[in-house]
Amino acid sequence: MIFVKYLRFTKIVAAIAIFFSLITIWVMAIWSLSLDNYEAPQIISFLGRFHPLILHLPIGLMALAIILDILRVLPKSWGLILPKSTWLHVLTTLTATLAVIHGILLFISGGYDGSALAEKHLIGACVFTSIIGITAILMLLVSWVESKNFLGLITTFIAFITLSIASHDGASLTHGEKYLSQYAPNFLKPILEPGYEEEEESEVDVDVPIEDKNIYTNVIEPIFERTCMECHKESKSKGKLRMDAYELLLVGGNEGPSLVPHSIEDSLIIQRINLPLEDDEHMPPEGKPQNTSQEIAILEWWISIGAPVDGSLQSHQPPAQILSFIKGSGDEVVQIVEEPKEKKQEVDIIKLNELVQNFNQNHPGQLAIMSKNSDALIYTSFSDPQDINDNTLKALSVFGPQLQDVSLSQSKITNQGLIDLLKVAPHIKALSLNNCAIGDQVTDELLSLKQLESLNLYGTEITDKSVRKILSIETLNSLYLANTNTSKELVREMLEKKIPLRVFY
Amino acid sequence: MNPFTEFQNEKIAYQTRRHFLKQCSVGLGAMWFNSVTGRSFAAGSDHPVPNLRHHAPKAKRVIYLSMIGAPSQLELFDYKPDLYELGGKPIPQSYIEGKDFAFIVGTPKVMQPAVKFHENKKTGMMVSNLLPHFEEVIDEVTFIKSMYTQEINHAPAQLKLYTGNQNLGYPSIGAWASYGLGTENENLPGFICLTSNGNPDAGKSAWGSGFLPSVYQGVQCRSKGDPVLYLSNPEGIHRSQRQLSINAINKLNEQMYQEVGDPEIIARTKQYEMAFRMQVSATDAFDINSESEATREMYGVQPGKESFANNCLMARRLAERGVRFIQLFDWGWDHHSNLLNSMKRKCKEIDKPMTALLKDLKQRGLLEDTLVIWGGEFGRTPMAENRGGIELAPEKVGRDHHPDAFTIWMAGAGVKPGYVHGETDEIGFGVQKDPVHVHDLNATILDAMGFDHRHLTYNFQGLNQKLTGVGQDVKIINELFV
Repeated sequence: MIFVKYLRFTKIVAAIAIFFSLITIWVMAIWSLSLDNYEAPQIISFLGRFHPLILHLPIGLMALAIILDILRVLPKSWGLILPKSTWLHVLTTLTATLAVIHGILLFISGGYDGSALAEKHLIGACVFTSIIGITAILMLLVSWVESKNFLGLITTFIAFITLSIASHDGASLTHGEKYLSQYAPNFLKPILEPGYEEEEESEVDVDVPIEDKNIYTNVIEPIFERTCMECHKESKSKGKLRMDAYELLLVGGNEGPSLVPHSIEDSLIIQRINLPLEDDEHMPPEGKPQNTSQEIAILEWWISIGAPVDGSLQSHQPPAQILSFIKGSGDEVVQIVEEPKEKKQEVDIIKLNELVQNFNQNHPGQLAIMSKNSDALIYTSFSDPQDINDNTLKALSVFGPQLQDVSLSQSKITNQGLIDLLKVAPHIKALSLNNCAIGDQVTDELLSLKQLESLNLYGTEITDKSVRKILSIETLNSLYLANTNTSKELVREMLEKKIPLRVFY
Repeated sequence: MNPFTEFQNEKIAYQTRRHFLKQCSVGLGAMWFNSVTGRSFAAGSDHPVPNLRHHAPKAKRVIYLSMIGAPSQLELFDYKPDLYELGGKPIPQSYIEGKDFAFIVGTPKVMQPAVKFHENKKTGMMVSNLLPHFEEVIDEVTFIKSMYTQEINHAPAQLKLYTGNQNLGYPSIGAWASYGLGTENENLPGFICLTSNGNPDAGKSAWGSGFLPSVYQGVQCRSKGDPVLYLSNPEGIHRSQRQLSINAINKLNEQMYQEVGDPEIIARTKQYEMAFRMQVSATDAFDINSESEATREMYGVQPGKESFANNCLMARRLAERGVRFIQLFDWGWDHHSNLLNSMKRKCKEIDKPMTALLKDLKQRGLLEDTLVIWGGEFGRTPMAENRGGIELAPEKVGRDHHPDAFTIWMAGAGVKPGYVHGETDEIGFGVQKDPVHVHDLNATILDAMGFDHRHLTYNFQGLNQKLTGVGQDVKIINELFV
């Protein structure tokens, strides 16, 4: 190499540098392990973040060293001329030292306290650096070591094993221990996953309904497992918070208790979940799996009843809506990032809105989207009812499936126009025909609305003939019959046999 | 200076730094940056689709009956039998320690309720005999007996209740609703208000738009004479001529807008157009004479006069025509003295119309998606007012302002009928159970209309302003709804 004239001198300098590097990393390692309750200044946290970047250098160099050592085993007759790996080892040691130092800075900047895995990783990295370092020193100072290929191969092999274990631990810290095994073929799983047990294909307790299972372990804990425990568990506890056990939720972390039974306002879990996604303090952090609004509702309900850890779900009398959320979310596939799903919904709303606005160009102020959560539409005739007729309904029919709330009061539609619209709008929940010239001809079509809850026939030409049929609509809650030629007696008679329908005169 | 030069100067003056920066902020750079950070929008100010609710609404419109001056809850709905015994005795010091009152001095005497209460057959609730008609519909209604606020005087209290902040300059709840939803009827404003017997102490700010663009403010209509001031054309000008001049004005405004980008110009253009449409539609909407005799009798309408009854009938007509937020202000409830006679008079004024309004809305199928609210800006003290140290005789005595406890009711739109939320203590001084702050009430109203109050915002002075203010502990009272 180039330093031939001062080779001996350079080798000694390099050896000394490596020696001091090894001392440094071990001293720093031991110091960092002895720390308790250390608040790292911001610069340390910043520098620590470069660890995942810098560590690629020693790994790349190590790979080169392995390739060279393997190639050296090939017969000399093949004519391969390979350089000695002395300086490669020197460089590997120096870059590894740099990586370890940054790693220690990352370790002390928080979130890894009490993490046995982090400590194992640190020691492993120091051991690897030491092995390569010592090899490098020997190759620099003791001349015959360089030339023994077999010796080189052994030390490289040992270093490789050490590096594999240490860096696997490091990767587990960042990506979770199940990272490799999650999609591994079944025969590999026992090797890759710690504590893996063969599971039956079918779930053992599929017959036990969720209502009879323990509320904490089967309803609440799975939520925390999915979106919280990646960073708040034994081996990694960001903000000193662990969420892998009920008592630890109450203890909390740096910011205080994460869970205060009965108080949604004081429970940091709920506060942080409900912050806007862009907020720095929103949990889970942006880019990680997010909680669905159903999960948030379940958690809020659970806290409001006192965050019980005992008892079956049923014994705590969940409201119907919460129960439906729990049942619905049971089969949810774990999503790595929820954002694309949200965006898809939004894009649909934007497209829908374009169509709606196009409609409103010719029919001002009539059609609107109900809310940003669904594609349900509201149609109202308030703006210019006298201009609304069967042609309007024809233009509206393209939105038929989304129409949920339709008010045609005071408009000039006819029976046929309405029948044609109702044929394509089966999901209407509220229909108002206030003062329309509508009569018994439409009744049969009304019966086809399977979700109709409110029907306003004020001032229409409906007669007793239709009332009997209308009262058979099971989903109907409210029926308005004032100013019509229907008789109260008939309604009273029908209601005697029936249901909680409210009829208004 | 000749007009031409003046015009030039004014043009230059408009290119102020603020306008320049405003234009820059809507540049391509900002749009790129926004897309890169990938923010998910909340419906309202930033959402790519405007006028979208956050969730499905229970109420499509609101009718707010605002009793200006603060009616005495102790003579209407909050039955406190202990007061009959304690009447005439000095109030225990523990209640009034460290508190401020508007006019009360020293240690006042407790004032017993000026009327008798009886049990309403339909709900079992104790009500006074001042609202006989209302008792027919009282089983439809939810009461909140635990309202409270911090303000002890009318104008700040009204501002706090209707605009969310006791200082001037904030948009009213109707303006927020208008801003969030727009108008349902193209020919009528989204927020209309009617007054009877006087104006609120907070003045026009009670229905103002604050820092929101002025197109969202409440339009004050009158029940006597022209429904809207300055709406009809001057003598001799025909409607088609009016249309031509409005078109010309709007063209000029459009040019100005291209130059300076001031949103108020757009607001002005929209208001001209709306006013033009209202010339026809408002005249029709406010024509209560077209109602049947039976209906007018049910409300107790007084044609040609301004009255709460007229306003109620108009409110129903406006609701029928899709106006989103209708607010009725009835002045004259501030009974510092002469409480009994004044209450009798005022209650007679509101009893029939209020009841008729609820019945009428129900009959027409409007009540199920209209939220009706009734109440004042605070309550009245259990103690008699002794202004200047003078104690008035029992027939003349009244009550002072009381922020710590008052009662309102709500009906319609998914509200739980016959439900009572919250409780005051034995003498009705403070709230004992389930306190509801005026911010909580506003958050609940917005929630019923389909908004999350935390996400209906407008960026002003560097803050995403909300109706419910900056506090984090505002809650929505879900128990009020079915």
